[in-house]
Amino acid sequence: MTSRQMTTALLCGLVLLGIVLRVHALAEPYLFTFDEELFARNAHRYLIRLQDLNDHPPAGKFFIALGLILFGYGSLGWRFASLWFGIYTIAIGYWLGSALFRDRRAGFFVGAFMAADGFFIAYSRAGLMDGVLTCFVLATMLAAVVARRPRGVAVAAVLCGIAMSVKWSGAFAVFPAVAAVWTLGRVPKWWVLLFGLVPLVHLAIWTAALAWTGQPADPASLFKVMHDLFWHHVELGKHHNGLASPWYSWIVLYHPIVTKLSSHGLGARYSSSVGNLAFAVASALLVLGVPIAALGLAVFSRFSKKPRNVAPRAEWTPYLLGAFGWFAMLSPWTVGRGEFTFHYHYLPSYAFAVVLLGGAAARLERVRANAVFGFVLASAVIALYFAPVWGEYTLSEAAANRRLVFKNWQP
Amino acid sequence: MDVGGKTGDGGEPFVTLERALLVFLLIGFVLWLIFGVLGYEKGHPQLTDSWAIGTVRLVEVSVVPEDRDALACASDTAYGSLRCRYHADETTIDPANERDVIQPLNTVKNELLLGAGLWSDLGSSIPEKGHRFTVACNFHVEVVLRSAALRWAPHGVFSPLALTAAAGHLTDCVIPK
Repeated sequence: MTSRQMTTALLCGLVLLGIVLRVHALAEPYLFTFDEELFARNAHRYLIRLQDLNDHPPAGKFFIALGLILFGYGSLGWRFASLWFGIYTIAIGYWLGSALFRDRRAGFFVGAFMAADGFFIAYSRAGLMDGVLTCFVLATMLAAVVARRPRGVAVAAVLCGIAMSVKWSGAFAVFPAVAAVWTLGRVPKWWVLLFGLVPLVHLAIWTAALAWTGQPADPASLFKVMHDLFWHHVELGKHHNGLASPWYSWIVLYHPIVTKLSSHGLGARYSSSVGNLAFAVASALLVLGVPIAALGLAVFSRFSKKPRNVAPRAEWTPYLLGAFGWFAMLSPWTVGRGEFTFHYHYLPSYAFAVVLLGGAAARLERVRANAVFGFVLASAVIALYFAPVWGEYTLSEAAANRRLVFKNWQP
Repeated sequence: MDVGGKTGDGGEPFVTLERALLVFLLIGFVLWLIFGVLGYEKGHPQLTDSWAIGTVRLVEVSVVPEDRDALACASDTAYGSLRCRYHADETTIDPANERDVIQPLNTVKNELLLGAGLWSDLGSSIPEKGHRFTVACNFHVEVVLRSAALRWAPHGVFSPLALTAAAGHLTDCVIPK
């Protein structure tokens, strides 16, 4: 059995493990955990046509409401959408990696890495909107990368409009999407104008939500709702929260949040959003290293008189797009929110880092298959070790703390 | 509608909108099947969520002999042979067999269950009135019960269950020495 075949087997195992960890005991505990109540209650209010009192746009709650329709107003109902989109994100990751790097192997790496990472798992298991948001952000990028006709770009714009309607930060997905259309050269550049649909989709969704709940839905009323919400979010920046952490600390996993915690007999069940350490470290090095290396090579080749064996620009483009996506999704949290930023704000940004990592792993495997196998093996061992605190398996506090080793990682 | 198509260098298509939507719906359908049709929630009581139907748990409860009549539930629904001592309107049901009458019990770990047969299983080994004792039994999780109201004192008020609870027979009860 070759290293590549053993890596393939491990990647399959990571995908399977990731799905099991997402599904296991999803409905437990049968209570609201973390911010679930904010979203589930307002999703329910949409179903009974009452005003949404939450401070985010409506779309995320529409999807949660779908789960309530299928399974009733209970924990399974309000977590179903997160699970659905969480598993779908693995597929989106596979397609995006394949299309961006023009290599199905890269897609396989991306999908498996997303499957076996606690950050993605935690937000697939809770009735929160960040997993849904991440799915739409990646879907926007995927549609932009594979677009060959105007309708393809329009689909990317509509998906971005939906992402923006889950959380406003989803609007920043437009930057890597535009960059993909512009730089990959697969469609005429002027088609990026179709991204003008993004705000229109957002306004249409919000107008429909207001009308559905019997609120004034004319443009002036909608503007007032959005204006008030914007300043509400600005004001939040002045608040202090014990779970908050600054944006620059997310890359080093300074304060991941335990999104679900419940006592279970003499033990407890945790769903921690601490990521897979192998992916977190490697992807952080890549998102910081790729732009620096690309800049260095560009400068070097510009001033060097000797011809060098440097990869062509087209080969760098997907990596730079991944790094740009990471930066674009991180950028709203670097300004304007004061101290009121949380580790989960990093999820869409981190998703781009994992896409970049998958592409790099596939590229490296062509020349260093053993090294990539070693890396995937290490990530699988880490995933198995952290599985109990990602997927809510009952364990003692001491056993949990052996995994959540830092005080900021513990609930 | 094709949003994918061939890659720029003539490679194979990676994904189309139709395929992406199909996979999305397929995942949702499979999950709905797993959780919905297989009745995931119905098999797990909300209050003691690891007690799946069909399992047997060793439970330890602390009671006084007066609890035999004081602890009671009210419901019109029969669960196999199991049923409450009272109708939903709080009128008494004439029990055919006390072994099948369920009553609310709290374990020493503060887990609520609705057990039947505790007193008949203990038989003559029940201590005198006024003496609190703990008893360990095998609890057979037979049903998950939702629509019932519970009473914890002889003439107390029946309060509806907020979350589903496990119900079943208690057997092999012993009073630890």
